[in-house]
Amino acid sequence: MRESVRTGTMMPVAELGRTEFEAAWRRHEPALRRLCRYLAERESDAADLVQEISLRALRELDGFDPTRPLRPWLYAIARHVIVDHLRRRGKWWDIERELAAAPEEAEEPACDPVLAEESAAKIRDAVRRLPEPYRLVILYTAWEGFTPSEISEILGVPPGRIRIHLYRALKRLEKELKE
Amino acid sequence: MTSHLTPEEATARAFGLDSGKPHCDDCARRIEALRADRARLAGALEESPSARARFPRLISALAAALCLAAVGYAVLTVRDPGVGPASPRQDAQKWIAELGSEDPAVRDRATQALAEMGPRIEGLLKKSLLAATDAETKARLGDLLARIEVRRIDRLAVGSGAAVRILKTDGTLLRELRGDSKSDVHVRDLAWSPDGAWLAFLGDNVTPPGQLSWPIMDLHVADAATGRIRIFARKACTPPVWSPDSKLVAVGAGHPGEDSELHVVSTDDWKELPLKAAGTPCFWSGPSLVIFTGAALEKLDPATGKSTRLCDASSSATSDGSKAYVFLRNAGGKFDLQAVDLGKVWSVTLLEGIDSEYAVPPAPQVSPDGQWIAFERRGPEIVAVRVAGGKPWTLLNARAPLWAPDGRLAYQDAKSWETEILRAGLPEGEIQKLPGSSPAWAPAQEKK
Repeated sequence: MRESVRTGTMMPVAELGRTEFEAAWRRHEPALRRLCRYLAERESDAADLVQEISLRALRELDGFDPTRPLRPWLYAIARHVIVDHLRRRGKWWDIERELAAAPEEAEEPACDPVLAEESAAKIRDAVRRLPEPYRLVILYTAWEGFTPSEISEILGVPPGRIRIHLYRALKRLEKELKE
Repeated sequence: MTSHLTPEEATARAFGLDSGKPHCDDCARRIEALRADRARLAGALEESPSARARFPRLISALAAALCLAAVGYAVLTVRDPGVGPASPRQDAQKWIAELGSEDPAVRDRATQALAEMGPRIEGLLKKSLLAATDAETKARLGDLLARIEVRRIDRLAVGSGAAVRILKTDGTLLRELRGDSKSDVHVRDLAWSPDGAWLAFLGDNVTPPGQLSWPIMDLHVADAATGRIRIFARKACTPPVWSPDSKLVAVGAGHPGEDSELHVVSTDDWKELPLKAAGTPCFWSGPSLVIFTGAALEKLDPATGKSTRLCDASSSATSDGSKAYVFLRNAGGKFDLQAVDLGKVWSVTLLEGIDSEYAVPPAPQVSPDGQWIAFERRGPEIVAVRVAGGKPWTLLNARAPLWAPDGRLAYQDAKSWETEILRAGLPEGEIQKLPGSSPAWAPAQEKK
């Protein structure tokens, strides 16, 4: 494929790349599906998002550097699909509003766990209600098990900024749980 | 004296974003408390939110059945050119027969009608030319084919990850433009300047150092000849719109409507005009920019910043020069497609009750000959209606229709986001697939 692009003719993805991708997709698809279920308002939307991620990843496979790990690359594509979804719903710009409204000064966190008394279902519902970017930050940091540099690559935010987003996300989650 | 960890630092350590031993017992306790929260959170999130709780089994089954029926409908009918308006082929054959008429008025009328059909009947014109026996018909058919060749647009730009690719419509890659500042700039909403010199698009921004930010999007402008990419107007969110002279490009920061901040960049000095206006740029009308303000279309003079109201509107709009095409939200919460005379003499509803999955629908797209309006509705699917009326034409699983200057229609496959082109315009059914998304047709002047 890469040779073909350089010589000026667009060809389908090479068979080897496609086979490797399909094997990798089978490994990552359940987690991506779960991620999309938290992000989409409807089950059918979540299924559409997962399908869109797989097809767009397949399409952009020729741009993937095989010396780098595939998982952050795949999740970065998921982010682009999620961006398009949020733009259609008129919610992409809410991220900017959310950040602008966030307090500049960090408050001291409590020393006692704030989630200990809450049921899992209540926590899940509160996460689903979180506005972006806090929902995404929570999902990636608390659950998916990415390294800090992977999260930075996936979300397109410098590592130093992620910790501030995370802190604010937790404060929002605490507020959601209290309401 | 040892300083305590800040709240962000303690949180980052508890969530594994940072490492290092805490300075004191107090900080260690805070980190432990946050670690317990993380464990609780991770455990709760491990289980997917229940789909069945929100979607009972019966509803899921019905939805699946409806999806299957829709797919079947798509396969069996929608991409069949027989659905929708009648094929122009029969009309064209009638007009071609009249090219040999002894009456000059009939010949002229037939020539005009065939010229308006353009590339859609190119194959038929070629066959007819080979079969023609009289000199008058041959001459007129030859002239019509020459006109189509002059109007033909054979290039378009598409986004492919971080690159803008300029392709021939047969898929041949002509050039690839790629910025060097960031590898993960995802190209969206490409717009080719009318003089062919620039390609504007939205791409993920580079978070400014020291600012708490999120990768919203920036306006990028690529030099089509050199590939150099300039970045402007941080936090753009609506598609770029070029002035007819290619000297200004406008973009909105924010969702379409009243809280969209308007930015206009000059290609003369690559500076932003000192303009303070709210609205989404739609199209240029002479030196004025028509903007969508959330409830209306307004005509804005970029030199003075003054604007005048044109009409009610619930979306961005496009124009054929004399009329604007726009959606207006109706009492039922759906949208009506409106044609609005820019002189405010009249407006007419072309189609009522359109359902959209967008909070603010993208602008309906008017064809270059002003005969068709194409738009995206919930499905997703593309619908095209004739301004003169008639049965709408529909294409399932497609988004973002865009007319070429020669009348062909490009759009994006809704799932793969690949570009597809209706080779001969509506309502012919032959489809050309191209790798890449967000197509922008080369302007008409680009033709060699």
